[in-house]
Amino acid sequence: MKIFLNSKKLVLIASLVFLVLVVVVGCGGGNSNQGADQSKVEQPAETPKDNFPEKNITWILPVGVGGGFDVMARTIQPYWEKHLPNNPSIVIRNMPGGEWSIGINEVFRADSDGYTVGFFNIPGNLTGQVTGRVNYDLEEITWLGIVGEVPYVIALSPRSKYKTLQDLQNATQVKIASEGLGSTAGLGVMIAAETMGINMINVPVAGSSEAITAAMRGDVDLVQYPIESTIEYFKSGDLIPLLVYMAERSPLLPDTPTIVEAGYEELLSVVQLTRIVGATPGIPKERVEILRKALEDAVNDPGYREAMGGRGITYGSPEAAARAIEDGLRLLEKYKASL
Amino acid sequence: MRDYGRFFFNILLLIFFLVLVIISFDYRPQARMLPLNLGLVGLGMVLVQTLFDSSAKAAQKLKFLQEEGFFSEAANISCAQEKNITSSQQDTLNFQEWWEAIRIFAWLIALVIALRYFNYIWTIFTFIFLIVWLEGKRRILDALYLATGVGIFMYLIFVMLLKWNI
Amino acid sequence: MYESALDSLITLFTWPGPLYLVLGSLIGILFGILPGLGGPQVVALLLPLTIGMDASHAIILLIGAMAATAFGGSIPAILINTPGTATNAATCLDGFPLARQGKAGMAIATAGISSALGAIFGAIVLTLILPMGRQIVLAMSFAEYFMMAVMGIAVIVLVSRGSIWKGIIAGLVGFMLSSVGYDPVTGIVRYTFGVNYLYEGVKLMPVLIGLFAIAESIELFIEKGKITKGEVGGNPFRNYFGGIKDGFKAVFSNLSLLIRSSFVGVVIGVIPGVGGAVANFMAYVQAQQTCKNNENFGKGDIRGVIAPESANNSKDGGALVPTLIFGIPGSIEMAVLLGALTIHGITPGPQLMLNNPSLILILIYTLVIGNIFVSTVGVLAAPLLFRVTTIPTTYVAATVFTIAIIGAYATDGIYYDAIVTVIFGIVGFTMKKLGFSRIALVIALMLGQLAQKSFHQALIVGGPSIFFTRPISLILFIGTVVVLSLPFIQSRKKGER
Repeated sequence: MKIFLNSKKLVLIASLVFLVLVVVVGCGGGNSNQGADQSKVEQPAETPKDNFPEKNITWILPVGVGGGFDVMARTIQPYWEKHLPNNPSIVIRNMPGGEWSIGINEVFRADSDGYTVGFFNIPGNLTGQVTGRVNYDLEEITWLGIVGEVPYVIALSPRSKYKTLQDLQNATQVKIASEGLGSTAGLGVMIAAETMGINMINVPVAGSSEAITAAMRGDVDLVQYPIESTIEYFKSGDLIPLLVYMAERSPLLPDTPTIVEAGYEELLSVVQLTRIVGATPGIPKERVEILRKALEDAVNDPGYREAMGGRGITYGSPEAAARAIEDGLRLLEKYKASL
Repeated sequence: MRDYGRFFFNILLLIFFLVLVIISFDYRPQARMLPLNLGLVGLGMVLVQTLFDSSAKAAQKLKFLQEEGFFSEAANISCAQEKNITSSQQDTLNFQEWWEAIRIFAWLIALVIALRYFNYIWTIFTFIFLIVWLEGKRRILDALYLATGVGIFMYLIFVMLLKWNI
Repeated sequence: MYESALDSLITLFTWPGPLYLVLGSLIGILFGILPGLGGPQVVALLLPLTIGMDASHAIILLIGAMAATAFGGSIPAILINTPGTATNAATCLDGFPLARQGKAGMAIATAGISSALGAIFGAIVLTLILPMGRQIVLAMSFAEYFMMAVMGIAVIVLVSRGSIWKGIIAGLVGFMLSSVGYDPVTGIVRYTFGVNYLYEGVKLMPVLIGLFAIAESIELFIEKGKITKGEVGGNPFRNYFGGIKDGFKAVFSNLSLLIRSSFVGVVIGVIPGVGGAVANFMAYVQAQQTCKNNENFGKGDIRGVIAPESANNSKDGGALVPTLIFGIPGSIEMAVLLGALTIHGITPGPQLMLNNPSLILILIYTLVIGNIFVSTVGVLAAPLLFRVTTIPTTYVAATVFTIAIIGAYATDGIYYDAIVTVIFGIVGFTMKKLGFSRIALVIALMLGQLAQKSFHQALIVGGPSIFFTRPISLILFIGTVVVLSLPFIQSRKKGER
């Protein structure tokens, strides 16, 4: 039948067009994924003519796409690539799950050839090993440098009846929203409450957005999150800043007193989020140095600073990183019982 | 015994609820509140259902189990006929049908296991070819065409477009 | 925000804007058609490709793809009783019987038209609400979420096929399954038996694929013969346009139903965390309850296709409200989309409308125009796709087996997903044959987590009385009780005759 033939032709043409599209998209987007497969190939150890890095480097992010760590990593990525000899590609691999443990395990399991690096959330990630939930020991990680220190702020709900720190301390019970003790924010707020003598009860939520919304509604009195996550809400009046966890007043919130002024300086090292880049234990020293130097140059690159919006980003040395880990561990041990 | 399949499934459900309820006793009160209570309800309901299914006399006493949801055919039968609905109107499978179904279950399980150890494109090809020819009893050439077609299609989509290689 | 309306439109139509629109839509349809792959997957997979791109182009591509999956998934739902995505599950209920009657062409055309109109409705509502979205989202708190989850479960259990008793049992099974995994409320892990895969709970996607796609294909395979039961004769040419014409006729003679269903879709979309699958079922239930002459639902009533298909597209519009205003995902696809937006420098939050009005508008336009494009393609292709129903079921079933299982595997690359799919395929087949409602299980699984979490959250915030002292929560509670008692009232009325 004539029409039958025509419809078959139509199908044929459609499939051809489709094939063309497939090829176009396939070729266009493909390159970024090829590197990951090759990272398992063994490289000869330390030869004087080591041409590290010769192939793609995999950067494991133990978080999902789109969060603060993810965005920062993707912003640093091109600059880090630029400052590494041979300009290799850095392939980002998101491996969320198990509260960072899945991705972190992957970093430990990788070959010690310098081709796998990871991103870490301190002190949050330390909870796992203090409570014994995970097997690894983050002190063994090859630290490459601190790339971000995120200061926190205590935010009050505009509908809460508590307005000052004294109010909170005198209250019988203050309602707080957080993701729970497994998260950096949750950990921080719990320790802070204990230190400052606030009786709190936690409403568990699945993320900072939910917590903030709960505070906006007045379901809870207080939340504690990085300034960068909450600044919009301060501007719109949906949240009221109470105290910032910084040594000096933040230029973004000049009217908000610091935790030091309130008399609780010791909380500074606890309630914060330090973003540290690290790699598999046991990598040859020369390669570590190459990675570390390139990272430092990337962070200090004016292009990177501009991309990050001029926010004060400083680079912290691997030694500082190791110290942060130690401090974190010591602190958590103190609070271990409540974890 | 009328319906082994149904009985077996009911027992499975029983075990499911029982196990989950027992385990829930290990959890803190707040954590087990909902699973425990609802699990017990489930357990009870399955018990009643099992009784209903196993004897006609019980079925008479437990008529309310028949109360159908809105989409069921039975709910739309006129009044006069309603009284004659007995449990035999429920879907029953004879042994022949169950056997066929179980064979297909086996094919599927084999497919999943094979996917673990072999390259997935070839596994699909072999699976379709074999199941259509042997189980579906189609012409061997037809089975081959289909397997090839699907194989190529999968290759295009998954390997080329999505770059997915296990 | 409305000042940039014209500029945004121009950006959308300036090359390479249309290219991305077409590309995204086609990829989206493909993902929609393949069982196991859907909205969340297509956004997740396209995301890395968009990284170097201009933000507006990235949005066009991603939204275009995401919106297309809702319609794409209706095609296998109608042709082979296998939902292409979770959001099309209810479409099978009347779509497949229509295919059996040889009316697949009309069904697909109807689905396409309903989808496009639903999307337009959703986009209109979105545009109107967005400035006011705050109040709406803020008015709902944990108690309301809990009540809505309970109502959702209650309703579904009631209207499923088979005895209500068994429907409740199936629902309870689904609820128990939703308790598996890490519980954020108490911080402990339940029912995982030490298996790390279950840490975050039983994944919905492989369960859905197994219960519906695999189970139905098992049945098809055993059945032998062709999908279309009736004779398909007549002039192919006339059939081609006839199907499309019938589709238009069906939709336009049921406009009020379409609007109602779209409304349901938007409302459910606005509720954070509740996804398209729920919208789909709810709209279907709503249609069944409110239409006259509803005996034919489940047997091939075209209204049973119009309702879910318009809802699963309008929900995108609704889901964008909490996503954009608060950064709380309104559905699963939105959660992935949020990540995409952040990467491209669009931060959801109260300032969003002020900072990026043009991008928001581009997003909305893409939703509408992308859907229209996709639906046009679908409607034109419908009579061709109809040919699938004339293929012997053995071939169809074997193909679906493989595509569905691989689809489940490919979504996250986890082998266990494939295992879960097969397990639930077997369970689903058995459930169907023994009269247990699979829909009840699925809805309970989907809403169970939300219910448990909200329950405990509400308790902490306000104690047990909170469910009854908050006005919206109270209304929902009464509504649930009314809905639950309906069948008994109705049957008593019938008995009196």
